[in-house]
Formats: sequence, structure tokens, C-alpha cells
Amino acid sequence: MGKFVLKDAFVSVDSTDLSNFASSVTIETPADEVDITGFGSDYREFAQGLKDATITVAFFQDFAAGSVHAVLGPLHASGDPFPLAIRPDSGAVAATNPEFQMTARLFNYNPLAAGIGEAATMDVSFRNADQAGIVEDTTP
Amino acid sequence: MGTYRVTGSTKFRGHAPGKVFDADLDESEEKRAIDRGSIAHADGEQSALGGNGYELTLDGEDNDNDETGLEPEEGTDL
Repeated sequence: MGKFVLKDAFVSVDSTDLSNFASSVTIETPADEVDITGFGSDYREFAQGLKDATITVAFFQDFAAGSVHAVLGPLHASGDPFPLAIRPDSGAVAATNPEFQMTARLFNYNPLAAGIGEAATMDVSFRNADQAGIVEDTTP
Repeated sequence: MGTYRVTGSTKFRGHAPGKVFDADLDESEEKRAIDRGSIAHADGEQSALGGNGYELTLDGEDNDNDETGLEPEEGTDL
């Protein structure tokens, strides 16, 4: 696989395909930088601490049954964990089309955020809710 | 294992709207999906896809995600 332009990413929230309502996705897995510098050192020394995981998706809002608001609203209200899956392409999972999976919770949800004449979009950040963090699945 | 029909306007577990499928959903996932109108019980109906799988998307002839249409130059490490 070479360079590619993201045109057909797959976004599944709680097993519901919301790809057509998403316009961008960012997967972040930062780790804490833990300072382990001891006396006698001229440079700080860092170790990798706990990791974190966040997946942010920009959605176009839709209030139809089973669509964006119907999926995200109850997940935010309940605080329940749910499966989230992202692929660079909507095609089948493969080594060249890995699926990033995370058990997520939704802490912040702004169902409407747009001005006059603008598309009703919103950035939704899904936070990690499981010790596994983000799992990369390449099994077809 | 239950039989469900996709009643929402979007795919559920890869199954298109209107499709009937079998799946072993956990209780909370099933309740959320039914409550929001994504799926409904379809007991007694014949599922189009047996087992507990997701419906796989058919690959196109060219699914290497290389949307640039450009071939790498000789010796170029992409």
C-alpha cells in the first residue's frame, strides 16, 4: 500500500455504520512521559508511562431514527461502554486496511453546534473505556 | 443467538437496512440498538446470512487504497 487519499473511511459506533455522516477522523494514542532522571545526569531521561486513547470524529448531525443523534445521544446519557471501529477504507479488514477498535465511552456530546447557513457538524471525542486501549485488527 | 432485521437507515454490523441477520448480541448492545430503532427482533424470519458474523463488504477490483493513481518511482520508498 502506498500513499493514499482518505475518501472512504469506515466509522462504526456501537455497531452502527455512520461513515456517511463522518467527514474526518483522528486516532490518538499518547503515552505519559515520566521523568526518571537521576543525580549525575546532564540530560533528562524519560520513560514511557501509561498510555491513553482517544478517537475524534467530525459528524454531520442527523436526527433520523437509528442515525447519528439516535446513536450518540443515548450513549452519552447512559455512560455505557460501546464498541467503536475505524478503518481507512470501507472494504474488508486486511493488513493494508487495518481496523482500529476501541471500547469507548462518550463524555461530551454537543448535539447541535452550527451557525446560520452552516452544516450542522460536531466533533465527537470517544474516550477509552477498557484496558486494551486501541486494538489494531488486520485479520480478514 | 437471535434473529434481527435492520430497521434503521444505516448499516448495522455490516448488514444493510431491511436485511435480516442472526447475531449473538450482548444484552446491553441489543437493548440500545432496538431502543434507537437500528434493529428489531425478527424471530421466525430467515436470515440472509447465518452464523454470528458481520456481513463482509465486497472488495472492488482495486482495493489497495492507493487513491492517487500514481505508481511509485523506481527505488522510492513510500
